[in-house]
Amino acid sequence: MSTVPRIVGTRLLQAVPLLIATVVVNFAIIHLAPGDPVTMMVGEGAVSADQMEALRESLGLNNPLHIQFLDYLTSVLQGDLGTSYVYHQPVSEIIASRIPATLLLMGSTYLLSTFLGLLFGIVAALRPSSLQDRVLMTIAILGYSVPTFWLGFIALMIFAVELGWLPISGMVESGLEPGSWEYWKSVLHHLVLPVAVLSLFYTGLIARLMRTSMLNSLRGDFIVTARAMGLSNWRIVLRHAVPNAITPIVTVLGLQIGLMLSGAVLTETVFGWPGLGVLTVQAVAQRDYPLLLGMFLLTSVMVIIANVLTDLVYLAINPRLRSNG
Amino acid sequence: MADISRVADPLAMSKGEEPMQTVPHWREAWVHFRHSRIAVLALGVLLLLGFAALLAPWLAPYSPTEVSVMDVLQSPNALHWWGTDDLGRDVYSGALYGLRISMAVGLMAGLVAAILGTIIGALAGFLGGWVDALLMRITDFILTIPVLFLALVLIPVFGSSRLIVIFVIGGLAWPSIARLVRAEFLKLRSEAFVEAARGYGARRFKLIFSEILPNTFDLVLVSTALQVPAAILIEAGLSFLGVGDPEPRSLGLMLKDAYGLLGLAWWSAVFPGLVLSALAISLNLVADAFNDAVRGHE
Amino acid sequence: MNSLTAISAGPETLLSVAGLSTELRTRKGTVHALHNVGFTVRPGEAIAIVGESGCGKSMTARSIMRVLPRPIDKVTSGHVRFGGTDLLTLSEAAMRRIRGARIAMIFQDPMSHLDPLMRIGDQISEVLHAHKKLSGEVLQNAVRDALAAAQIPDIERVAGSYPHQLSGGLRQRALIAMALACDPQLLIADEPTTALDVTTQKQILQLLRQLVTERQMGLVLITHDLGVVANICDRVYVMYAGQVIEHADVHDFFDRPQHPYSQGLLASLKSLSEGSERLSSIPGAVPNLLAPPSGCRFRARCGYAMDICAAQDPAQRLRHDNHRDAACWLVEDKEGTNV
Repeated sequence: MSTVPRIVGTRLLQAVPLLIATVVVNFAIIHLAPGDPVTMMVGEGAVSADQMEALRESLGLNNPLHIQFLDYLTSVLQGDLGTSYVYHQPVSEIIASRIPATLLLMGSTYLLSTFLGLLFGIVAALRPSSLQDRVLMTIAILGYSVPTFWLGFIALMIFAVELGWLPISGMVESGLEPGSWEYWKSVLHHLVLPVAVLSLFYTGLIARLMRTSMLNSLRGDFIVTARAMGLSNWRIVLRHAVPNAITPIVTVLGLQIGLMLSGAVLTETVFGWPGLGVLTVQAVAQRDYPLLLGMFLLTSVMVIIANVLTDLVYLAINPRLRSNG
Repeated sequence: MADISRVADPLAMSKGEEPMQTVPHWREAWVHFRHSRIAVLALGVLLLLGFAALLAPWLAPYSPTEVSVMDVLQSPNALHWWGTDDLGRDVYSGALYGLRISMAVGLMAGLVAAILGTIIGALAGFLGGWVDALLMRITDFILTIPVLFLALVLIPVFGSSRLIVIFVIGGLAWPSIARLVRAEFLKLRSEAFVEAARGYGARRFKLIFSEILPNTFDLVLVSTALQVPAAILIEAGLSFLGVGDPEPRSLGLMLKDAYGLLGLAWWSAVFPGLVLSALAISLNLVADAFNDAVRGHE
Repeated sequence: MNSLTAISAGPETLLSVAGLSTELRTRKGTVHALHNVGFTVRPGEAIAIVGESGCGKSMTARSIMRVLPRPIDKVTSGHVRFGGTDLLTLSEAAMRRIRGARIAMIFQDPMSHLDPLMRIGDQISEVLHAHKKLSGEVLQNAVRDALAAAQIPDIERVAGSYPHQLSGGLRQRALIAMALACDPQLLIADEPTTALDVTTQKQILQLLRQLVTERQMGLVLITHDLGVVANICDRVYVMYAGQVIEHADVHDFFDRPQHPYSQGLLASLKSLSEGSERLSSIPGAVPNLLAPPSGCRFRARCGYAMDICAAQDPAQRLRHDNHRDAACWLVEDKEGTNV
């Protein structure tokens, strides 16, 4: 098993060029971005040309490109992503303050949709072409075909506006003491609709995927062996078919974490959920480039980390990889 | 060993499977497709939506952008079948024109993805070696990018135009197509090489591109079909967020406007959303059924 | 169909199969995979079922075990008498208690037939737990015993290994250990050595023969390799296109095969052993079992085909007792009582 550290090392090393490429792309985008950063920062005609020049000099914008890149790289490595044009705060701080909300939304959705998706996929695959299979798979296709933002918005109209069962917007009622029982209850109340809507989408995707994988697994020769050895159907499904069906799709399941950011942006916008998605949409509307690029960088890093973590999980659950390298 | 199983195995019974299917003709795929009632229904809906989009200028009773102060926020009635929004614009006409945009963007993005996917997959499968490894590494990476999020960040930087929207969405949708093309290339290459090596070694290249590439056409078509609804939803999402197609009336934009009228005019949200959903659902069902029919899955 | 009656299931018989017919439902139609198959196995006896791939020999095994590929596939008629009961009439739960415990099965490709994600030891414990409800130290000992019975040298290492970490021979031994774990009376071995190299093949066959003799176990060896048959089997059944077409004592069979198909098989074996370049294979293809031909199923490939071969299927009058017989109109009907 001495190959494990080597594989882990290789995976981590492979992530480095990707990270560097991301930073380069990010730097390039800063320079491609329309408009003059200094003008953007202080506003059109707010200061004199001399002051602008001084500011430019102090920001290092007059240095040669490669010096600027090194400066940029240094500051990124130090966690300095610049200052928001709009909030006049460090980008890293603004982003950090929004992470918990998005993490809560995406985390709940991820757990729920993975659980339900795997379950539905298994149930459908156990009786292919049966009624239960067809019903589940039609729902699954509906789930990932109906636009989440529209569904969210219809759900809001029904459950929040018409029926008044659930809150319309936000993450928590104002005025509650953070950390108190009431506070968390309110958070949970606010979480129901966005998680339900976003989960429908991912549950559909995962259920389709799991069904296909499960059908393959059930066709496996080791299932014939298990049957011929007189194991019970439950045992065959749970101990043999399911693990062998999940293993090949772990990669995809892991990568959903990164992909969910797209869904989070729309869902957060519809439900006024104060996370990274709403922040990004606002930054787009206000052309707050430092904040946008900070988000871009953060997302790229997140995707890369999700890639590496997924590889490692795959390695952990698949004995074949561990010793073959 | 006295191997007497030289005769082709008629049943492949050891695994309990049906005989391996070769790439079926479209006629055969169509026969299989027709078996699924829901897929046929979806195809009908899709054709209907396609005609509606093509004939929008003739079908729409009003101009999609015509503002009318007299007709603000009317619920569905005989004059405005799907009602009007807060500027008095006819929702039905808007949805018809929006459908055009959704379909155009979806199909064009699919085309971009198909071209990129075929080229990259063919290069990886044909050249092999480190080129293959590198291209597949990139392919895997792009598969993990949250497209809508990236487009959201990039589009304001590059400016918003329909071409940019198409290229950003299509430019990130090719990986699954590339993978299929590559796999098909690897499979067919070994067979083709054997034959080519017998005859004219120098003609390998030509053989690859005259024999293998046409064979991947079916696969490219069905896997592109699976990308189109996704592209349509991404475009609608971007419009909803305010950075999609710059046309003043797309389905996503209508929904964005309707969102501002939450609780005031349900029709302005429900009808465009239903059109968008019907389009995505029917496309997914049809693409799915064709995928099954062509690739011979369960 | 007269053959359902023609079985002598004496007390010495361990398994007796009669009139077994199986249908598989495919997208293209119903495949009549087995038609009227019959054979017997006695304790301590090894029989071979021989034929080309697709002739139905694996499907015979799976019909007996009632582990057909899909739920819609059906055994449409026949009897499988084992230990005083007809297995085809048992409930699924009762059948499950027999599978793996009293009748066990091993397969051609041990790599794909072992669960790749489970250690060998765990896979064997699972079978023992299912049938004998063993646990703890007793279970561990039983696992070691099973591995030892399959003559595995390095028991602890193999028990702790995943299938991919073992050689092909060890994997097959691991599968055999799993099959032997509950001390079955009958072992069905479906092409157990096809995927192995010659040396390993010999060792596995020796092991199987030894188990038959020592444990008085019945063995049904399914193979397309007549060399294997000659080595360890007592009697031979030849299958063609879903039917048994000849059965005989192993010596009789190799000395004087009666069915033209059997003669063809042996001729190709002979040409191979003499090192001749060209294999004398039997020309033509196996009939399509979606629509089996009338009359003798071999007649399209047979050099001796006559008028009667098209009119009437000689397999109808094949005797299923322990006397040798061949389903061919050329074979003299010594007792003259059939049809």
